[in-house]
Amino acid sequence: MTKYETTFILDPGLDEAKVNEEVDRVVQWIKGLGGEVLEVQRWGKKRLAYEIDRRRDGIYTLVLYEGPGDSVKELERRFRLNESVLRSLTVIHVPPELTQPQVDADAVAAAEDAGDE
Amino acid sequence: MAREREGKSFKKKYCKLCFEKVGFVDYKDDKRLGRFVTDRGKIVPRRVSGTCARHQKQLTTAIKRARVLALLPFTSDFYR
Repeated sequence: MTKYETTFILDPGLDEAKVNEEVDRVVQWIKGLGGEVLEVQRWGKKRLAYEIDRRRDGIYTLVLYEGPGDSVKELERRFRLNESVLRSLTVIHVPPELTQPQVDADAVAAAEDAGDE
Repeated sequence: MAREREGKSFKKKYCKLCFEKVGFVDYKDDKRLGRFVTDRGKIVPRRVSGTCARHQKQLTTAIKRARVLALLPFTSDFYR
């Protein structure tokens, strides 16, 4: 069993209830495929860096789960079939304590400004 | 090393990510990644940004992942 994180972008036109339904369905799918959902992060509506299917925004959701490798393949197949999902990306999860910087970015920016002549 | 040329002085480059003690560059961190792409959306080479080999490798992967999720552009709208 490996920890995976899947981020998917939903159509911005969907209403709240529909979004909840889609997210719940994904959670159910993962359970059905023999996985265990560890965390669901909702980033909400974000601006896309480029248009996807004529849409400028998207509703981002990240699901962190543990499951067999086959589940990833099946999940991605279902995402492709689902027209509400604009994009999805699955990667092997990296523990967040590794990603978090020890120094915060603002302090660095200030230090850089001071360093420039 | 900082070299002296006529009228110009050079500052030694250093890896900004090592300075911030970033353990692993994350594709979700689009603000940080944004500092390592040009206004055209290209990845800034190591010789320009001064990033160390380890972080540059992580950066390229992270930027490419972020592009898939439309967190970063493949190319900017302006030049399209």
